[in-house]
Amino acid sequence: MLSVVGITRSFDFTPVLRGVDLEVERGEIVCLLGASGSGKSTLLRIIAGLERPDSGDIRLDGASILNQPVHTRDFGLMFQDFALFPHMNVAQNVEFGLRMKGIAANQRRERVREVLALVNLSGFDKRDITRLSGGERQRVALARSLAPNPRLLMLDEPLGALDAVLRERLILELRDIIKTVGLTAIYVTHDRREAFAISDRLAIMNDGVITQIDTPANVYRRPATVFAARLLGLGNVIPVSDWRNGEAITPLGAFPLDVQAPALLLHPDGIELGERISGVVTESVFQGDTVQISLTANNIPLSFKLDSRRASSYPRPGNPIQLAINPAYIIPLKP
Amino acid sequence: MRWLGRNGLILLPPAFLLIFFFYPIISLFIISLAPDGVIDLSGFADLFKTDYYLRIFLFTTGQAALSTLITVGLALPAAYAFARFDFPGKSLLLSISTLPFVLPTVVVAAAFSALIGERGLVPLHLEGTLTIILIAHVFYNYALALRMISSFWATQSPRIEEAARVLGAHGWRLWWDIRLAAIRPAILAASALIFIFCFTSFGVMLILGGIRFATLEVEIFRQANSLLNLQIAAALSIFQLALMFALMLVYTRLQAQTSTDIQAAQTVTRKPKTRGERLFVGGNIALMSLLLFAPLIALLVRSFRSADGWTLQYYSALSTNVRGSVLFVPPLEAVANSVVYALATTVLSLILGLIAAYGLARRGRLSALLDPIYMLPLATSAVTLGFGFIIALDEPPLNLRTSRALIVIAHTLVAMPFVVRSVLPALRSISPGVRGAAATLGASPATVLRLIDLPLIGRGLIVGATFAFTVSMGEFGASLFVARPDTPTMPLVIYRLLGQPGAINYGQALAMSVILMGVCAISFLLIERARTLGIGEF
Repeated sequence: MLSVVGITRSFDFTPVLRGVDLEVERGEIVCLLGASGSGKSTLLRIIAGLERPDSGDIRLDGASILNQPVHTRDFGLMFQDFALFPHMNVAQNVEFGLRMKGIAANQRRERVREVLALVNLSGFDKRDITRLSGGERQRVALARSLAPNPRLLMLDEPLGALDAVLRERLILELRDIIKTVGLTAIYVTHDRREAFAISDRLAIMNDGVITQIDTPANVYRRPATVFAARLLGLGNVIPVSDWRNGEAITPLGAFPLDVQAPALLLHPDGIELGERISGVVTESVFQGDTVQISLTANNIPLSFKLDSRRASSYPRPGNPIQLAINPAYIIPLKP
Repeated sequence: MRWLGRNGLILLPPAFLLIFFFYPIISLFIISLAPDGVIDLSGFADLFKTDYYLRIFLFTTGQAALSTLITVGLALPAAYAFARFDFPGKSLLLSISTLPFVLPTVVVAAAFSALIGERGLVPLHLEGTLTIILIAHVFYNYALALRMISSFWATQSPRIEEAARVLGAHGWRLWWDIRLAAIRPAILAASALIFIFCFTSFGVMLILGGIRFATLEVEIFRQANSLLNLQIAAALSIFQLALMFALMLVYTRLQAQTSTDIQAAQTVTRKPKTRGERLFVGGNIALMSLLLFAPLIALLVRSFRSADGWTLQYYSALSTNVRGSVLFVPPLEAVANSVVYALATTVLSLILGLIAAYGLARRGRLSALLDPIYMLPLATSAVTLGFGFIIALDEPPLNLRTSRALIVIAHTLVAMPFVVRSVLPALRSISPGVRGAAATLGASPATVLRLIDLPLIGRGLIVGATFAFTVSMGEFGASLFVARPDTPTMPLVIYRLLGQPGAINYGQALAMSVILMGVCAISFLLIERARTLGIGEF
C-alpha cells in the first residue's frame, strides 16, 4: 500500500537518511526499531509530509504523494509528547480532524463518542486535558489520530513519555485497537520489547538505512548485523579472525559457519551446559523460572539463561563452567 | 510572647502596609463617605449629577482599550517572530526593548514632545491629541506585550502545529484554531495588564494630553490639588481603586492560566528561510527599533540643540536658579534630592521586601493571603496613594506632612512589591531539604544563611534593589502630592519646567530628562546583566 523509495535527507550537510526503502502492506503494523538519532522520526515526518526528502519518493497505492501538502494526506500521526491542543478539552481535541474535514457537528459528536469508547475514555468528553494523567493523554492522542479514519497511522514513540509499568499494559491495548479498526500502521520505537509486542514486521534502522526487515521472531532469531544483535539485547558477539572450509576461527575456537562474516553471534537461546566452551562465572542472577548467568571465556564476556527447574544447584560467581552450543544458533553477523 | 520574639520581624511588612497603605486608603473612604463624621453620600451623588464624570470615565476606558488593542496588535507579529525565529542580535534587542519599562513617565512624555510637535524634531502638530497619547502608550507597553506573549508562545511545542496540520488544518484555520487560540491566555493576560497601566496613565496624559484630555487619574489630581474638592476626589479615588482591584484580580487569574502549561518547555527556533519570512522578521525588527529609539534619540538630540545650533546651555543652566523660575532651588539640587530619596527607598524596601519574601516563602494559608496583599500598592494608582497620604498623614496621630520621610515611604510602597517578586522565586527554589542538609553537615543557622540563602538569592536581591532605586527615581504621581516645594525630585522639576513657556525652560526639562534617562538606563543594564548571568549559571 505504502512504498518508501530511496529516501535521503540531510540536515546541515549531515545525512540523516541515506536511501530508505520500505513497503508497508494494507492492515499490517510495521515497527521501525533503532537507536535515537537513527533517522526513524525524520522518516515518519517525511511520510506525513511535515518534511521534504532530498531525494526519493513516497507512493500510496502506486501514486506519488510527494507533492501533496500535509493537510490533505489523510494520515494520522501520534507524537511522543502527544501534542494535544492545550486550549481544547478532550472532545474538542478528538473532533479536530473531523472539523477540518467539514463533518457536521452531530456526526462529529457521534464519532467522538465511538472513538473515546474504543480507547476506554467514555465520559471524558468535557475533561480539561491539563487534568489528565499521562496514560489518559496518550489515549486522547490516539483517539484524536483515529477519529478521522486515517489511511495510515504513524506512531512516533507513543509510549516514550510513560513509565515502564504503564507501557507494558498500553502496548498490548494499542495493538488490539489498531487491529480492531484494521488500520495500517508504522510504529517507531527504540524499545525492543515494545517492538516485539506490537509489530507484524520489524525493521531495524541504523544510521539512516533499514538493514533488516522480517517478522519479530525471525529478526530476534537471526539478527543480520552486529548492531541489530546489540539492539535486540543479544550480547554474545564474537569477533571472527579467519574463515576457512565452512569454519569460523574465533578466540573461543572454531565454529561451523556457512558464510564468511566478520563476527558471529552465539545466540543465548542456543547455549546449554555442556563441554564445548570453558569459562568462569562472573555473575548469576536468579530470576524465577530462569537463572541469568554471565561468564567470561578467554576474556570474552558471554551470557545465557538456564532453566532453573532443570538445575537444582546453579553455578556461583568464581566457579568454572562448561557450555555447549547448538550449531543452529550460531549466526553470522555483518558489521 | 516567645512566638512574637521569634517571629516578630515577620510582622514588620504587614504593619508597614497597615499604617502607610491601608490607613490612608481608609481615610479616603471616610472623606468620601462621611467627611464630617456622619454618613454623607453627596460626594458619590455629585458624580452622577452631570455627565461630566461619565464622559471622563468613558474617555479613560476608551483610550485604555484603544491603547491596549494597538499595542497587542503590533506586538503579536513581533512575538511570533521572537518565539519561532532566530536572528542576529535577537537577545540584545529583546533586552533593550524592556528599557521603556524602567523609564519614568515624565521622561517618556518629554521624549515624545521632543520627537513630535511644534517643539519636536518631527513637525507634526500632534501635541494635545489622542494620537500622541496612544503612541506614547504603545511605546510604554509594546515590550511588555512582546515579552509576555512571545515567552508563552515559545513554550508551545511546534508539534502541536504539526499535529494540527496532519489532522488537516492549514491556512487561516491553522492560525485561528491553533496558533492564536493556543496563546489566548497570554494575549488576555498581557491585554489586562496593559489596560490597567493605560487606565491609570497619569504623567503621559498630564504632559502630552494638555487640558483637553483627562483620565480619571488626572481628574482626581485636579479635584484634589487645584480645585481642593477633596470629597469628589476621594469618591473618584475609591471608584477607581475598586475598579483596579477587580481588574487586577482578573489579571492574576489570566496570568495563572499562562503557567499551567502541559507541554514540555522546549524552545524550537530556526533561522528565517524564505524571503517572506526574512521580510516578516526584518519588518518587525524595524518597527520595534523605530518605536524604541526614535523618541529617545529625539530627546537626546533636542537637549543639545537650540535655535542657534548645538549647545550645552541647557545643561549648564541646570546649576543656576534662574530668576523668575518656577522652582525655588537650582534644578541640579533635584538630582541630589532624588538620589538621596532613591537610596533610602532602596534600603527600606530591601529590608521590608526581604522579610516579606521570607514570610511568603514558607507557604501556607497566611502567605497565600498575604501574597496578593503585598501586591496591592502596585495596583493602586500613584495619585490615589499620594492623595491618601496628605489626607491621612498630615494630622495627629501621624503628622508627617512636612517630613521628607513621606516621600521615601510612598516610594517604598511602590518599590517593595518589586523586591518581593525578585527575591521570592529564588527563595522558594531553596527546598527545606537543602538547608537541612547543610545543617546536618555542621552549618549553624548563620552559616546556612551566609552560604546557602545569600548566594542563591543574591541575584534576586540585586535585581530587586535596582528596581527599587529606579522606581523611586522615576516616581511622579505620588511625589506630586507629598514632595515639599523646596525639595523637589527630578521628575517634578521636569514636569514644572515642561509646563513653562520659553526655550530655556524647555531645554532644561530635556536636559534633566536625559540625566534621569541615563540613571535609569544604567540601572536597567544592571538588572539585565544580573538576569542574564542568572540564566547562564543554572
